[in-house]
Amino acid sequence: MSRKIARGCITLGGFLMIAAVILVLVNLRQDEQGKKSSEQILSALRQEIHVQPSDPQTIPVPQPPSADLFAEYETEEHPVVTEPTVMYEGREYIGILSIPALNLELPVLAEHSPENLKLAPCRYSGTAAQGDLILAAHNYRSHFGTLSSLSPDDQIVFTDAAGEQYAYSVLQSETIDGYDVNGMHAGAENSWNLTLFTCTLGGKSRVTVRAVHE
Amino acid sequence: MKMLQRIGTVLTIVGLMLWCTVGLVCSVSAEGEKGSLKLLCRTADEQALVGMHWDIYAVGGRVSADKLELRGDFADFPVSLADTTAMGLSAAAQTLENFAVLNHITPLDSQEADQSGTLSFDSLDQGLYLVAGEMLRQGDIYYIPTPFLVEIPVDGSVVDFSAHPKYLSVDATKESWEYSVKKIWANTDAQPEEHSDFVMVQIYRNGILVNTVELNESNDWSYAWTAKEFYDWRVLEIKVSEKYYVVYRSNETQYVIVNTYNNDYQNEVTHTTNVVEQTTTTATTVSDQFETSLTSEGTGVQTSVGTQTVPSETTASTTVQISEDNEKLPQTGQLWWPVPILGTSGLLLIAIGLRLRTKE
Repeated sequence: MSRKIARGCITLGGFLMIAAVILVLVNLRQDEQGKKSSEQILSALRQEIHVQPSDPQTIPVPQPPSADLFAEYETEEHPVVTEPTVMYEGREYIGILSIPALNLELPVLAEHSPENLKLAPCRYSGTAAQGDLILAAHNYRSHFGTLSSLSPDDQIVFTDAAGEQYAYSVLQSETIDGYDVNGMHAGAENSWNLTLFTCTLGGKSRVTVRAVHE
Repeated sequence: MKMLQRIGTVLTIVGLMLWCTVGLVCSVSAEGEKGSLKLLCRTADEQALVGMHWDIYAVGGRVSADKLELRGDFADFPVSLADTTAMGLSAAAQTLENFAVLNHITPLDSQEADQSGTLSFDSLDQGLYLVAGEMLRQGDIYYIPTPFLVEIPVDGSVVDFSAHPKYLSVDATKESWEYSVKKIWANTDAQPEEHSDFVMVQIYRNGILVNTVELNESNDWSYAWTAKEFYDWRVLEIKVSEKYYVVYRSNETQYVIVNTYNNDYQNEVTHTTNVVEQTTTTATTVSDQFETSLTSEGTGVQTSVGTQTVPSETTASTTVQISEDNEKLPQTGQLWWPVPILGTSGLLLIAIGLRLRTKE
């Protein structure tokens, strides 16, 4: 009897171990696919986005006003900023995100969805021009998986589709509950100008990095 | 011995004086650090905008780490620098440029782009500068530069800047142009009684006043006109209420005047009645190319605001999105949490199984 129990335990334990290994392999494969897709998109975007030369230091200069200035004031109290985008394989991209401290350079999709998040970081809300941009990405190591290791004053650069560069320095890292949408938006423009977030390993909360214009 | 002591004292005093002098010189040198700004005036297809004229104005400086203020000729303009986002500073730059041109403020320096489209402003002290260019025609296209603000920082960390100005490009061959101006009242929901029933707006063509119009509820706070050629039109609101900040924005043909209620305003408002003479709207000083649809003459009476204290704490508008109860941030995590549970459970079960087998 106890031999049967022993065999059962060993068999079940083996299955669980195999399940754990399979899960690790699936995650690593997703990570690798995310890395490949990002690199492929990035090389395509680099041909479309021509970064303005930055010697000795290029000042971000405002874009000309939009074609219909009045329309900006008809629907919202604050003017709507229309951002330049680049289309690639049917998806809209708003620019390239660079985090030298993590050795990351990633394309950024204009809209977030489960499918888009598998490819590259996505805009959750806001715009770089308005100083309230929030970007979300998977916690793949090749995306935002190492976000928590950023330190205050680390540099982040976002280059929009028109080649305009926005330089930020990290202000702080925090953890926000997965349902705290207001907490994620709180302080936009006043306390921070760029927010990056990804899931914690448990998936319930979001590792959130706030950055301000340099 | 005394002699040696005296010599020592003298040397010490001379040494201290030298030390102080050197320290003072070094300090002046650091504070006197100058900055420069290089502009690269080129079109999107890299054509140099040769001869484009640019002016630079010293408009203000930094009060603290997070606060800028207007100074000098610009100190009294009702322009807020509180919004330091790119959008906010762009609006402030357009507004200050409008004031600078219409008030004929003398720029700190003026330059024209050379054959490569390059120009440079040198020897700039620490402070906030407005950089504004003039419209340039090249072939069949007018290039209208977008003004911008640049700060030479106090810490002297970076003092040499370069910038690539942006332009509106306009087809110069077009035969007829329709222009319009619109007045926007912003952030006044809590103070609807504060803004006047009408505003008077001056319209300038190439810097010359050609018309003054009244904007009010009945004309939807807007006014339109046509012209047979493209000009550098500008608009200016007469007597912006001291309770409001003003922003002027424009593209090729549209002009927006945004008055934003100043939430920090707290003052005893004196009971006054201002009578504003409305000039005839038929432009007598302009050529026949200027056409207008508003032809009435009259006198506008600006409604008074009685003696009252404007509350200092008012509800400011906010752009923060309010979430639905069930709204959740996007799921951006991989399924890592079961891995340690599965692994630990598996190891534990295998260990138990092996133990039982050993006992057997």
